[in-house]
Amino acid sequence: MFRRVKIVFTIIFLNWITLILLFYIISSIVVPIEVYNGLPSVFLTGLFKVAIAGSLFMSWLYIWNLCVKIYFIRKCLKDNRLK
Amino acid sequence: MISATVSIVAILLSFALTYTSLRYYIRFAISHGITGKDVHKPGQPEVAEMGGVCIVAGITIGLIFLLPFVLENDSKIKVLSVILTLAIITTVGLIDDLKTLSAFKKTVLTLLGGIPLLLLKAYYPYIKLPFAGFARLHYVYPLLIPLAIAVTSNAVNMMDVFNGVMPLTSLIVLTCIALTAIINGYFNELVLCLIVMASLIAYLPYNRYPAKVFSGDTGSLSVGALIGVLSIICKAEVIALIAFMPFILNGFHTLMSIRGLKERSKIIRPTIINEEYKLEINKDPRAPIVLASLFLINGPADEKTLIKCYVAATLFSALLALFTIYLTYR
Repeated sequence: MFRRVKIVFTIIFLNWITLILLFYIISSIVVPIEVYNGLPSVFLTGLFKVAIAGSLFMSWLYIWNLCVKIYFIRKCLKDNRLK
Repeated sequence: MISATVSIVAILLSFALTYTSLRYYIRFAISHGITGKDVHKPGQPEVAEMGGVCIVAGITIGLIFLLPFVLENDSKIKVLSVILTLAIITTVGLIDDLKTLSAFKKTVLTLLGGIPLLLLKAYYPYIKLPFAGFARLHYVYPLLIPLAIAVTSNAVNMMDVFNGVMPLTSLIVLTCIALTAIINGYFNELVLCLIVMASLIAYLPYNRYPAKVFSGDTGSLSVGALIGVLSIICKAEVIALIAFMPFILNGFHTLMSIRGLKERSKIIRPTIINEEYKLEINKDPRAPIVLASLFLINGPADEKTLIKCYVAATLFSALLALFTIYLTYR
């Protein structure tokens, strides 16, 4: 059972770490920018946070998707998909 | 605050209505040909479809019963927005079950589920993040609401592939949302969570392996939308996002593999059934890579084992979500 779920557990755990790091980035980079330097509007500040968090997380998911795909093809489908 | 007696009655009503109506609905669906094939079983037996109607009925009656007893305006608006979102998404699900909508249309229509929350302003435009504290998103937050409802409803729909997976995994995510509601002191919202959970618990004996009924898109889209709405009104967005991770991964990998939105019938099945009636990876290069493909990477497995894998993955996410609660509220 654990043999089957360990890959998914690893992906979930790494995604969780990424999210936590993202929140840390937001708190240590984005919030100080907002507080000390000021952005032109509240809308831009919110957009800035969401854009940074969203794009970083989506890129991370995309990279993971590629890794999973490569791993999956190498492990199971090399006869069919690596041609 | 809603009194304990009223809350308990609403929760029991939701449970009893779903449980009883499903018993009669299964007979009705089979006699009227509202059935679908359970493709993972030997002989592919016909199973009653669209059982989600009973889940929705149970939740709606529970919520409507609750409405006159909610005294605070703020909470009344929240209950109303949950009912309206449920109505919109159920309609989308029903149309899809009866007429089969294109994947694009279905996704666009599920965006409408966020409208009641926006119109009734049943949200607070900030998110509590671990380390960062409150992040103000006054203007951006409302834009994200329809997106959140569409993502959660379609992700749950994509996960509803094996017997019992949808109610079990959704219950785990809802438990995390309910715990966050308790920590936030949102006890009225907690009752809404419990009403949804009661209905899913009542549905579980009928849908668990071997299933007697499938929820259909009516059920899976509605439950997904409810997860989205409840995470917003209970201020559990981040916790729900983490507990919801297996759903997101499953949806994301599927969308990336098939390159865009496609109807379920047009997607090549990611798994096939061998002579021993075990599931194994479909080696067709056009087949999408889903969570089940990753569970089957080390060889074929029966449906029961796969169901356990889905539940284990969601439980693991829920554990991480609980740790995030600790990081956020410590």
